[in-house]
Amino acid sequence: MKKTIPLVITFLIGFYMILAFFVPHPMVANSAQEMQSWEIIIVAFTLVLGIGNLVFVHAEKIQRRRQGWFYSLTLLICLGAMMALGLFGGIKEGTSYYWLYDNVMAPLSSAMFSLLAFFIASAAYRAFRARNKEATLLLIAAAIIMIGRVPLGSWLWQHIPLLGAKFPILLDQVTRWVMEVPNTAGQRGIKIGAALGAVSMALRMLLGIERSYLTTGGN
Amino acid sequence: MRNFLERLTRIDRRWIFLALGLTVALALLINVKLPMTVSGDVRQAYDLLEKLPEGSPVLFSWDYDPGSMPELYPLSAAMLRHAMRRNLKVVMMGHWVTGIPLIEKQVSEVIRVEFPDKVYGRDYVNLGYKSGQAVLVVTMAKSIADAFPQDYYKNKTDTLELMRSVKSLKDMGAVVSFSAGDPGLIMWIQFAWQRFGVPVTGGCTAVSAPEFSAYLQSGQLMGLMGGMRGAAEYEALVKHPGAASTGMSAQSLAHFLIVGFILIGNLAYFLTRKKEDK
Repeated sequence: MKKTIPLVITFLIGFYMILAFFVPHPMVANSAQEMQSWEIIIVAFTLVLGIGNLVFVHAEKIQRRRQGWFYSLTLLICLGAMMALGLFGGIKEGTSYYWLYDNVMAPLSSAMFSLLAFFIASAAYRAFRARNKEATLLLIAAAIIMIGRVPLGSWLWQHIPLLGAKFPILLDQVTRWVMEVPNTAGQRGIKIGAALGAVSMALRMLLGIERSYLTTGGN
Repeated sequence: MRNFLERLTRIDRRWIFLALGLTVALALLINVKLPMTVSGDVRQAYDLLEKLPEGSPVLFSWDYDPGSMPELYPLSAAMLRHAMRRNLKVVMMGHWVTGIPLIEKQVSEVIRVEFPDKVYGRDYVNLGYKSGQAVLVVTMAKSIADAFPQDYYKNKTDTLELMRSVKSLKDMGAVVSFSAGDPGLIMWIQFAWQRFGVPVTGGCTAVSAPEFSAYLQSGQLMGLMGGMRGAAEYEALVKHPGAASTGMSAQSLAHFLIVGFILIGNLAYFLTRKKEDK
């Protein structure tokens, strides 16, 4: 019974939403719209669940004094402080919340993302080796894109004696070709595969074949 | 020589970090202006806004957070500036909760400074954040006021002058998404364009630009600004060089440095491997 009722709900609601897509009758469309509004509320609750889970995991880490517990404590203090400031002082420009966002969170997030460039440089040096045919092709394509996508690359190309002067936009054309032909072909394959996978997974769930979403922690 | 090459293959990563840091810092300090050619994809996005009749409503969605600010913030500033110059009515919102204060920041830095005659509620509106992602977009296509009963400042949405004429997503002349991932541009293409026929354009981080090429070719996406380069090209089109144009010299040198590292790494690899084979 614990499993049958959710399966029946999934089946009925799922197929009703598919039906609403094809039936323009106001009664069907309005009821489907109403259910979509509920979904927005349910999605909002996932945020609460996420915060609850975060607090639980880090509180346990602090309680057991696990390695790095001090960082967990910092995280929970920041979480509480930002929530309190936002809830009681507002989030608009000029509030304490906005000041902290602008002066702490924004620079920290930007710094975290910019570290990526350093790791890419290091990884490119160590791992980007022409070990075989495929790796060599990937390496050449990456180098063309990296040079062709920046203005310095185009500028230098145009100043290469003979070649650059004779074919000034060749680098741009090759860069565009790599992006528009091999890259797009690969992307299409991935997208079609992922879409077919999503459709089959949705059908499996609606028909009750796929039931993993009903269980947690191996139960 | 062999010792040198072997040492080169085992070089401490901190030297690489230092080289990159110095290169970027130097490029930012010197700030060499390089000629910028505008690609077709960026031109297409620019034309989409340029060809809209004056007073048309457009939806700007800030689908990124401070992590992607260096790439997407200059782009959103340039497009907002363009829309304001053309007297388009801008409805702003975001799917990333941590990105919403960036709308406020942009309004302060672009609209209030450069377009002080523009009035909130009449010329632009900030709807803020709402969860729901794709469902939210579908709800907006029925009624924006249903999806966002209140704006960012807690005004009732349907009491705002602009929102009295813009009832649903279908009334928009275009949707522009500044996207750092999911939810973002792909979701707008799949729902706003594919389901409701609203033209979609936008910008994304450089790493995610290749995944949009299929949508560009099929005509589902009306132009794309990829990374800081796309933003710099848009700045060139609106004739207002900003942070992206400044950053391009740093990005150019960083790219060349990384390609240089790849070449040195491969050279060392092949030379040491040949010696090992012997």
